[in-house]
Amino acid sequence: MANELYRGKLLNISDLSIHFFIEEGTVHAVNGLNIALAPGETIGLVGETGAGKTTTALGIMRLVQSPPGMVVEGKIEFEGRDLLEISEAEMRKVRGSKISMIFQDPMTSLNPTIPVRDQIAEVVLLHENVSAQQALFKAEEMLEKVGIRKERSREYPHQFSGGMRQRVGIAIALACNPALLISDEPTTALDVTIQAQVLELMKDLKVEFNTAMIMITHDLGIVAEICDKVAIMYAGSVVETADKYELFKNPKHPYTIGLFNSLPDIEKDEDRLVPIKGLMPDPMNLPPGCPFHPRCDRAMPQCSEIVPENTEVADGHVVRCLLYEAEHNKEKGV
Amino acid sequence: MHIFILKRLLMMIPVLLGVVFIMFVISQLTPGDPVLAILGEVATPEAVAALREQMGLDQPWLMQFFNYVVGVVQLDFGTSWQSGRPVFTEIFARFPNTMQLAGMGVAFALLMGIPLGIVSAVKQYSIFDTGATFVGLIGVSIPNFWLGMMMIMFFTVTLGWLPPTGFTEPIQWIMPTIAIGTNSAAIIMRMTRSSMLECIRQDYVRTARAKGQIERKVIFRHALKNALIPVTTTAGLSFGFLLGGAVLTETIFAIPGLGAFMVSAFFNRDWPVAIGGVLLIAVSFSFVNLFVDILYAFIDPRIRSQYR
Amino acid sequence: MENAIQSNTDLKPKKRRSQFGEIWKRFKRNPLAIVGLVLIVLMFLMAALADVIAPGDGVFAGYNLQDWNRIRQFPSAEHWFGTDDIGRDVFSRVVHGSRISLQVGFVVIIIGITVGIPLGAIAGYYKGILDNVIMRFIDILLAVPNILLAIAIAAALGPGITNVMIAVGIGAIPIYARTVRAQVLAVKEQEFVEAARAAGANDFRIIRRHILPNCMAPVIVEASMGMAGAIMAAAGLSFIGLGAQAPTPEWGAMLADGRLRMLAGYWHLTLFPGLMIALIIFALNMMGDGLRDALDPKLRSGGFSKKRFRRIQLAKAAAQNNSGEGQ
Repeated sequence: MANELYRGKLLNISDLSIHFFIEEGTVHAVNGLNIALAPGETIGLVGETGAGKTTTALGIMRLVQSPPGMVVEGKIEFEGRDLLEISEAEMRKVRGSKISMIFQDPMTSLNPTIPVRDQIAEVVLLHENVSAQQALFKAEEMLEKVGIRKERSREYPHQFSGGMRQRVGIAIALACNPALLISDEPTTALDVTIQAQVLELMKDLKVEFNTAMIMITHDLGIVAEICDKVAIMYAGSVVETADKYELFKNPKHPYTIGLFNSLPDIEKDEDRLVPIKGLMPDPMNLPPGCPFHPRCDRAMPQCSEIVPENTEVADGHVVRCLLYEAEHNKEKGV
Repeated sequence: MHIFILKRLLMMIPVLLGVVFIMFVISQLTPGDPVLAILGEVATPEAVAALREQMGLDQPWLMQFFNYVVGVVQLDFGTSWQSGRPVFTEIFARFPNTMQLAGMGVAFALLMGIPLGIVSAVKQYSIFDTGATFVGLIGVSIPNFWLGMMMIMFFTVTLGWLPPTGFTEPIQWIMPTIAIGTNSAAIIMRMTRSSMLECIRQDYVRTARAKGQIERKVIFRHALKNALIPVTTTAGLSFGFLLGGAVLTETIFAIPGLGAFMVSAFFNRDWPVAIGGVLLIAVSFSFVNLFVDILYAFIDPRIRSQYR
Repeated sequence: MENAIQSNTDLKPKKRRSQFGEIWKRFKRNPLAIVGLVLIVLMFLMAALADVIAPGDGVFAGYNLQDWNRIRQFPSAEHWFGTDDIGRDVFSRVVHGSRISLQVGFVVIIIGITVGIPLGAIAGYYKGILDNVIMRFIDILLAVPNILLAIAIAAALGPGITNVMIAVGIGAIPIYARTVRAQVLAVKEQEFVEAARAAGANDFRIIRRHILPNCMAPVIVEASMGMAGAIMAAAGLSFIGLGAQAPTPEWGAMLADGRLRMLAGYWHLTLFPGLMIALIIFALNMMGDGLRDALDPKLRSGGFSKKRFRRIQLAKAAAQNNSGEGQ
């Protein structure tokens, strides 16, 4: 029933839950997550560290380490197929060619013992019917595209700077022209000036390749710059999702509002920022009801009992909060 | 790279000098007079003095050390006090057997340890992993000389399949190789397992999977090469361990090697042979370690650029 | 994780205790480590109660009691491990042998630690020439295979279990020196050392009170594994005749005696003493593994709960089957 609210064509994730079973307990990393994405569209997946953003990304790629991790329920429909149902061999054909990923830390996500050119050629060879020679040629072409000279293509990752390595990561991800690109905080590990360059590059290439993108970040600035839609994540689920302009103008969920309040606004010249009180709950021990209620200014007694449903407050603007659920139901006359 | 090798070769010289020096110091701890030990208590003072001069023992021991080093540079390791033959010919006659034994031991250890370690890591938490970990612990704990005896007991005495002693026929190589190599096989297995476990959790392995690479290639092309770096070190150290272990293994299987020969040299306080043997083993160990360092450079380009 | 805020506000003295508690908690979770610990405790009990378990007369007879009417008997109800060449009860000798092996293990560790730790601490703390001299000396010791060095020293000093302990102990120095040096290099850059220096503590005090306590974790692990190695090396030395001399019931020496009767099929003379050596080393290694894991801050959490994982997996499979049948 929640699915009706999402009108994605390329990717439609519904009720996805991913848990990790470790000795100390069960880590509820992702809990009933819903995301939808149309071809060519970019969605920003925003949340604090530990909100389950990376686990979601790895879940889409079916790369959650198992054991201890497991997708306990949900669907990941991509181009009409549920990725959780297809065989591993079929999934391998999707990875790197239809869906690819850029990882957070370019210092560790490239293999230190293989020249960068070969690392790009590897993905080309896997998915395209070309000779090794052609794959290497394509790899060099991709390197030039991300701004690395051909002459350096035989060098190893340690010979490049962080920003350059992330460019290699982008080249690997885009080499097979994927329909969906997942970027897991691609610029967090980089210097601020390099960040802008890399973002600019990603923006250009995204347009050139017409790739849909999930941009994982905790930086609303990046969202403003690059995304079409935003999904705010808290404790493993999406608490609010909307078109970028709608969300920035008209945030609904108390957590989203809190996020904006904790950002400095240069125009308002505030004396101090308003941080969200408390800490992210322990994913091994989530509070009952709405996971945000212990930190919420507007929490009501029933917030600790009822898990809120998705409520569409405006066209394409969905919130998970009892405040709006009640209002919405009233309107509908329930 | 050449400069690196040259530097390492030069660095070996003081270490090996130190080895000889320490062995000289140790030999000085021996109570009693070697000359009297050779000639017996009834020898005339003249004979004793003559032999002492001939053996160079009339000089202060620092001088003896100096003379020895000068000799070694000319490949003169002195003469055995026991047999009277040159130490050089005595030890080199037996050295090939010891090298062969240690070499086969390392080969056995690598062939057993690396595959088992890989499978164990890839199938972490499986029954195979638990079993391999347990067997690995047993493998580290069995004294090689006892394992040798138990094998003789089983394969020779009970089953009558394998000859208990000797080292000329390939069939005679089986038990000594297993006896000497088991500890190292277990150590290498444990090392490979933990190193692989670390590598398959690395980001670049995840990147390889994200490319759609098949699991076998993810393991062998991406994880294994990086995981082998610490294993190489362990294998090099094992070689030294095996050269030492040869002493006991050769004794048990009556292998005419340097180890067993040195045991009798130590027993008879035949210091020229003992020092020569220890020096030769230290030299081979140093070369193996150098070889390991060079191997690093082939595996890891980061180390390669450091060596320049 | 849930205690993040709380533990920050906790008072200092409590911390130390809970640290030990944490380590013990993690150690306890590892069944192999517990088996190792239990085996070691049993070994100690056996050594302590050797005279009770295998007393001077009675069923087992004294460990040195020779009886020419019962030479080389195979194991029986009367002589559990059989009798040897001169009619001594092997079980009694094996039991009493535990005293020697444990003693050797401890003395070797003590030699290794008392020489190795100061050397490593000085080398790491002062760096420079002193470091160079010490570490080159360690390099030289490491260039000779350990057992060979021990044989050389034991041969020079003359046979005997005391000399074996000295010989193996000297061979054990490098590992502790290296371990401590590496730790000191890491610890000494930390702020609390800087603070102690600013408070006017002298070098000796800084090393002893501030640096060494923070270097102990790997030393404890090395000591556990090192004791295993020491017992193995000492048995080897005794085996080739450099160690304990007749009639001492040392396991390695017993193996050497038994070896002469091996081809004649008297398996019990070599099986039992060797088994004991292997068992004690096995126990020490298991405990060492457990200690290493318990002390390693990298492994604080993240063990995988197979039970719960399987349960959910099965439930999921069952749900899928049901829905499959339903269609």
